[in-house]
Amino acid sequence: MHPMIPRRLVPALVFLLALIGLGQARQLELHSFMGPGPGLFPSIVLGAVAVLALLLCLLPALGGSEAGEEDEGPPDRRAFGATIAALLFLVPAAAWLGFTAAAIGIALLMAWLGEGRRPWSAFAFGLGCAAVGVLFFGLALNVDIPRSSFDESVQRIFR
Amino acid sequence: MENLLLGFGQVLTPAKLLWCFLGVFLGTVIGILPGLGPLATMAILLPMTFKMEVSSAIIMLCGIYYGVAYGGTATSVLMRIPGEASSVVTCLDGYMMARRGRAGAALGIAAIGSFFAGTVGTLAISYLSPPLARLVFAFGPAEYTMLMLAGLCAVTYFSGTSILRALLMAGLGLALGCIGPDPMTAEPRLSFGLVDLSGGIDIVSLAIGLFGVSELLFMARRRAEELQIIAPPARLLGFLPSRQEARRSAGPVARGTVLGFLIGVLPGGGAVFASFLSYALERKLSKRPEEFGTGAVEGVAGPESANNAGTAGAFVPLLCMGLPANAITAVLLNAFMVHGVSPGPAMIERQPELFWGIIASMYLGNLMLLVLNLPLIGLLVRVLEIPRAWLSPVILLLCLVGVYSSTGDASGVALCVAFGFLGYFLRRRGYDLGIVILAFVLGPIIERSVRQALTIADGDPAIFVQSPLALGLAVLVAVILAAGLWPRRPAVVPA
Amino acid sequence: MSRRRLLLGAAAAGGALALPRLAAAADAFPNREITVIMPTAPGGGADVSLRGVLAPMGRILGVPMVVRNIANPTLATAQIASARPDGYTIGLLGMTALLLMPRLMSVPYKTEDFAFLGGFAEVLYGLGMKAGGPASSVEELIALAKTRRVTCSSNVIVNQLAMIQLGNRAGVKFHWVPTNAQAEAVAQVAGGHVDAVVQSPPEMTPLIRSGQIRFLASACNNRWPSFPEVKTLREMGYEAANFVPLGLACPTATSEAIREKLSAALAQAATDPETQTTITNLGGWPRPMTPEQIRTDMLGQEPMITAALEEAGMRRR
Repeated sequence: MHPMIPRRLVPALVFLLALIGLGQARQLELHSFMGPGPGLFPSIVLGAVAVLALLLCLLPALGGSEAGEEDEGPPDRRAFGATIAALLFLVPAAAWLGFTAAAIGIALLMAWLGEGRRPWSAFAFGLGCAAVGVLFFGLALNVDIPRSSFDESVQRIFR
Repeated sequence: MENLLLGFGQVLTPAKLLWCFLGVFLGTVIGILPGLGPLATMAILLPMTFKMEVSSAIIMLCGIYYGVAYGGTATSVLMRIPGEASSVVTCLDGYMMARRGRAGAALGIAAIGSFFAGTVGTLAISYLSPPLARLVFAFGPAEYTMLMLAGLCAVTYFSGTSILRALLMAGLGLALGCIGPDPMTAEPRLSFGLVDLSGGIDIVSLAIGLFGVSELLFMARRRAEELQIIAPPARLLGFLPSRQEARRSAGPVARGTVLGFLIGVLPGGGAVFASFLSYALERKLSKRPEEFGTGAVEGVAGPESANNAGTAGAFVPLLCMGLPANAITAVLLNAFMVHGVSPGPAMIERQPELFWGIIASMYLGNLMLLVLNLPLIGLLVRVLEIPRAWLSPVILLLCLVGVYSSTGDASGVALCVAFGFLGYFLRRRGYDLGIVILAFVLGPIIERSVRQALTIADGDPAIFVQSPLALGLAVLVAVILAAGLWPRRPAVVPA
Repeated sequence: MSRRRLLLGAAAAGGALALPRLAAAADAFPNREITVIMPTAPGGGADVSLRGVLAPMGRILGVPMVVRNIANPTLATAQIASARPDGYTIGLLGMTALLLMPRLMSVPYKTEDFAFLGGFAEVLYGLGMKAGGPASSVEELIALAKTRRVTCSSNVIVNQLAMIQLGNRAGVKFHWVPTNAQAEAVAQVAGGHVDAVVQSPPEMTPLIRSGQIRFLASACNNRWPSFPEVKTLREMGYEAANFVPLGLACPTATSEAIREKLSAALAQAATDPETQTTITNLGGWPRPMTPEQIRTDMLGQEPMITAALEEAGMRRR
């Protein structure tokens, strides 16, 4: 079922990452005034990873069976795409948009676009999640959540 | 025995019982809810205990610590979100049990195993503490290096995949663990000039990304009708483990308890290390190793008991010597100090009522936790009846809260998402992600120990085989590696 | 979709503007919780001491003081420097982030970015060895270091500064063995794997009391209140001491009126007797410091640290 290329993909990718890491590690001293330096361990680890990855890349048979999880069956493309979109949306949302916007955005993406629920119920659900997050976690339990100025003003009303 | 009676006499007052209950209740709650860790909760509560009587304060704070180990199982089993590194292993088989409709059994066996481990662990604290405490001193950097290497090799060797692929994942975890400040000079390494990476990768974003977020992608791939989860039997206590599951769990619980307690006594990655070792051991001993990863009850019972016994073990060096084994017991040490008490032999001698009171409270606390957790299971498994359209956003938001609160800014969230995709990709290709986490946790400890040992010995590697303990562990490492790399049969290429 | 998100953004901005935040002049300060960034994990001695000070400080100011632990000193300190200068985000400035890290890497802050608000304590340090070990006094330790390699463990390099100074004065070298946790440093010595240790009272006291660690000298400016008979290194004639003041700071751009309010509250909280007992029990030396005092105390150590590190061979890459 698999051509050889995807099979070698993971080792090849790890090999590439290990090389990049080795490039970084080379700037660190192998020996410092205290004995072994900061660069020694990363160099050894990354070197070993690179060798191992290259070996598996050239001789994938050494890796034995590669039965991945849930390989069979066509995926639910719509839900899958929506989940990827939600994950990508989460990064800027956590950095700049705050919790309320993140919750509503994720609910819309996953429940409305991904699963075909009604947009308004998805929006209301997101709002509900936001309320729990901002008021219960953020305010009552004092958990550190991403806060926009909107989230902060909501918290101030309930304080 | 009369000492223990003295302890129970101290604790069996309404006020003390209330503090104990409050502690274990808080522990359960913060174990279940993401974003609340025992460390932060205890630090916040500590100033409030300044005015409390010392034993009440300690009883409550201890309750939080061992209570967390009970509650932490829930999100791992129900949503594949590891609340902490020590419940990563539970994600593997606990979650698969849940998908096969045995969520209640998984949570039930975890609670019962935790109760057994907690109680036996407390018993061991009462009677075996002084000799065990000396174990801590026997481990210097060289011995520690060899112990960690032996554990890592054993887990890699007993992994379900081929050893080369498992080694590749171990290497990946070790490499990820190198990112961040150098453990000796604090010099930032492999951070690619980013301040966000200069502190290293947070274990929470790695674990939640590789396990929780990647599972969201798998969930979305499955078509909705495949997700029908068999509802637990409706009758009372129907969620509990079946007789067969209970029988299969007895051995793992007992072995996990002993293993977890001994490793918990040692400083460092105690509970994580113990849970992984227990999982590897049970897979090795099982007559059905192929079931591991698809919902084997042994894969939940062993690690969950080990994890709780490890918590109990961590109290030994603290109470007997005043040496905290991890960051949480270090908070407990400060809780003692704030009240002008320094734990150790002097405290056991001069304030036996305090020492034995704490011990007695642990017996009662574990009992309270069992009573508290069993009914909760019936409620928690209801989560699985929520349709995917609503459950997925909630899981993602819980991941967000957990990661953001742990790293304190959005860089952890970005990393977590990246690890989610990586985890999905690796799982599709059949790689074992548990080893990544274990190597990530142990890597910095191994590196520090190696460099400590070489500093002590002025660069002479002979130190790693000098003491009998180090030599014995080194031989173990060599045997495991040789056994693992020995070509048992010509490599088979599956069609 | 994008329109909806735009609308959301507008709603968020509108909500912020509607509140009289811009009008919040200094006389209205503070009207909401103050976040205090702590550059360590929660629960350590300094963290608990800080929480002990923040409780009365919050009572004086009438708002909650919320500790935010960011266990990466550089990142935490960068966040203090880049915080909105409205007094609602302040932080504890650590020696590691302020004086040591800039020597090892390029950091996104400089000392001029911070205005000190005052200090509340100094950290106590002590030099210990295994009881019944090869040396039982500082002289013997120095003599030992002349004959063989002597190691000394501690969890951060700040603790080691006194040993670097002591070694430089006595013409010997103590080889630093860094550990992950405070207690681990002490355990390594009690187990006989490392020769000496420099740590603080919470992790050292239990093993000193149980007779496993011999307390040779106090390695800071003061004797320990719990062991008043043990002299400081300086009293023994060695010009060597760790000097780590704990205090709060805010971004320099914060208005003077707000800074004064915070300073006054901190000064009052630091003299609170209950707080001082807490700090003492946690192994600190309670010492209220004015903003100028702590500034001089901390920044005044820069030449010493530079010299000590250069002599020890640590330098900026």
